[in-house]
Amino acid sequence: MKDKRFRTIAYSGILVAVAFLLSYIEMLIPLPIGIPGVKLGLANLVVFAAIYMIEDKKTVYMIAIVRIILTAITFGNAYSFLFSFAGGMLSLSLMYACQKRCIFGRIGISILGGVGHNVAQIAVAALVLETPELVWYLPTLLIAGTIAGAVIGLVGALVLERVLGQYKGVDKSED
Amino acid sequence: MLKRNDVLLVLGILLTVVILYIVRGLVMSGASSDYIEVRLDGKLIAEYSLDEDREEVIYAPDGGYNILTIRDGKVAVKEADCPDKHCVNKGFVSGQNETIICLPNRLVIKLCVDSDKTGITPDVMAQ
Ligand SMILES: [Zn+2]
Repeated sequence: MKDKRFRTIAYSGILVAVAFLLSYIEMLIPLPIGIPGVKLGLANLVVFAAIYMIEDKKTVYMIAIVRIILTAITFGNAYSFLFSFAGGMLSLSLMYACQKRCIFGRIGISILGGVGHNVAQIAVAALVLETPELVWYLPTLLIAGTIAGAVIGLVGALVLERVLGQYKGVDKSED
Repeated sequence: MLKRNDVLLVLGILLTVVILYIVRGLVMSGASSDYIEVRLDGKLIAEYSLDEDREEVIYAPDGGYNILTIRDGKVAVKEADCPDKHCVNKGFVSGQNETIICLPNRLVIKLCVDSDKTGITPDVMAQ
């Protein structure tokens, strides 16, 4: 039991660190789409992995929130914080909801996370900027979210296989 | 790993995208615009006609800036201090209902035709 708790703590630390690193890399890669607010959502890879690696829901939400706050303080401003907070939370909640009901496989869950991330970002941006015209970016955002989600799902599956392979049956390794 | 529902999900997203593209095509006709609305934080701060060439510096509330250029009936953000430079990379636009958006500076430039004139014509810029 104790062993499991320590593992969760260790995982959380590593995941936050990796997510922070991915957020930084994401900053260095400007997307040529020309749309404000679209981020690759690389850090979602960590959140996606966390859902399967850590049993405690609250811990997973904490990892996502800490990552967003850290990134905003270091690279962003109040607005980018709002956007990524909305994106991160909707994405995570969607992924959880679908994982629990087993509606989609891992790839589907990840795609939903990517799409949710982008839709929430643009919705908050439209509200904050009082610019409903932003909805015209939705098609591109949906495509970007789907591609990012699919890639994250594939890479995430490989990562999970390696990490969870060592502790077969101890954590969530269904699917 | 890839469930049937995953495929359906992707198809559903693609269908939504196609529908949105069609609707957007209907709304944003190829017609060119007459003037632009400049909004900061959602507030209309200026309107400029696209008929005359000009250059304006728009200062964001938190100190950022965007320099917009109007030339040959088109508008572009020539220079900006935002980190992502999406607004600059967008280049010159002229189509109806098009927008240039700089999220970091909370700037929105909307291209309009005379028929959707609101009647508000502030010629003094806030700040
Ligand atoms: Zn900009």
